[in-house]
Amino acid sequence: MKLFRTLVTGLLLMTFASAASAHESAGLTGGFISGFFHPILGWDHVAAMVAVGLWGAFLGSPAIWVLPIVFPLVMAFGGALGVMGVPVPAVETGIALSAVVIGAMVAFAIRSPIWVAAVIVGAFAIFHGHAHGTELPSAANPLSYSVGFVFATGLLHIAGIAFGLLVRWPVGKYAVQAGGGFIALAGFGFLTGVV
Amino acid sequence: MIRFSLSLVALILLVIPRVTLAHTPVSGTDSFYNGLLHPVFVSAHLLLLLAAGLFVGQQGRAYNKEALIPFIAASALGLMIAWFSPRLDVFFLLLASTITIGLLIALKPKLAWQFKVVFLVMAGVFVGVDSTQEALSGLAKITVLLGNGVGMIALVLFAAIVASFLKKAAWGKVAIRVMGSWIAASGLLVLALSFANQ
Repeated sequence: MKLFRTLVTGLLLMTFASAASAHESAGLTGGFISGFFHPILGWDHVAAMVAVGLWGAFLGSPAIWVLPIVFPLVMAFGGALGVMGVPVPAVETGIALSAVVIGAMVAFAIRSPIWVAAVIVGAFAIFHGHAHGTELPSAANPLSYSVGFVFATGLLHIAGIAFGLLVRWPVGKYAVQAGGGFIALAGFGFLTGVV
Repeated sequence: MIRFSLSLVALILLVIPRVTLAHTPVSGTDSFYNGLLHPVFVSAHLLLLLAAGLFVGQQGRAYNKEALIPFIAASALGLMIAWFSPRLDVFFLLLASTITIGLLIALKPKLAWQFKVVFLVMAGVFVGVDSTQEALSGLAKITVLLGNGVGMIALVLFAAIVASFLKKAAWGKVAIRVMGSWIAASGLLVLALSFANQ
């Protein structure tokens, strides 16, 4: 058990290891880092990604793992649309709206059926993916870039799930709902341009 | 206490910034080591091999031997093709395999084991074939390809061991499936890009 903990901790820390410069163009590492920071440096992305994890944790099993699986897969589809130049209307609005809707779902403790949650999350994932996908062609190393932003998205989901696990406690449930409300408000701010 | 101390040292070493210079060939290192590092620094190979390893680990110990032996044989075949033939364009096949294995990990469908092994075999062949070292010849080429093969097997084993550990916990099983979805998503995006660029 201790060895397992050490191994897992070590693996997790490796994700924070410093950049390794490899190959002439530094495309591998540069691509991964650019991709990794793309969702993280966009507050609208961060809010929505955390909200997905939060809602998954709030809904419990199987949503807690279904939503973090559905989102990247559908996001990849949206990204493919972006890469191929297929226009998707109102991408930024869709991204902002994702924070509003999913945040509100958590804030109002709405326990939808798993398929409804998956459809909602999947629908918004298209917008997020499209936004990332349009950046992909200009990335130094597209595969590293896509691994980077998919990985960052997953870590944000995990952050949301970790926070969402507070629902085990009565006070934690209110904290999670408050978190959802905060995300919904932030989304509203992105939507109106206030934030 | 000793184990904790060793773990702490290992963790500290992991976070200390260091410069890793990687190239092919790398001055100061021999051909075998270059080959060993090759699958690590080619992102398409790294992703596919990690996916293959996670897949093997996810299936459970009962299938490990039945999965790894065909994979090792397939890798050897791919590297032999790389030795004899000029560079073949298998990038699309690499991505398709990555996406497929990623989806198999994420969705965990009920398929016959023999059917699943086919994907591992394809992964080994495609990565091996794509490891051509056209600039090299003779002993140097053989040594690089040998190192490459060892590197491929090491990566798959590493991912398989990680998956085997993770499998023991309920959250770990979920983590494996989530990683599979990430791998499939990454591959799908780059596949779309390769279509868009044609």
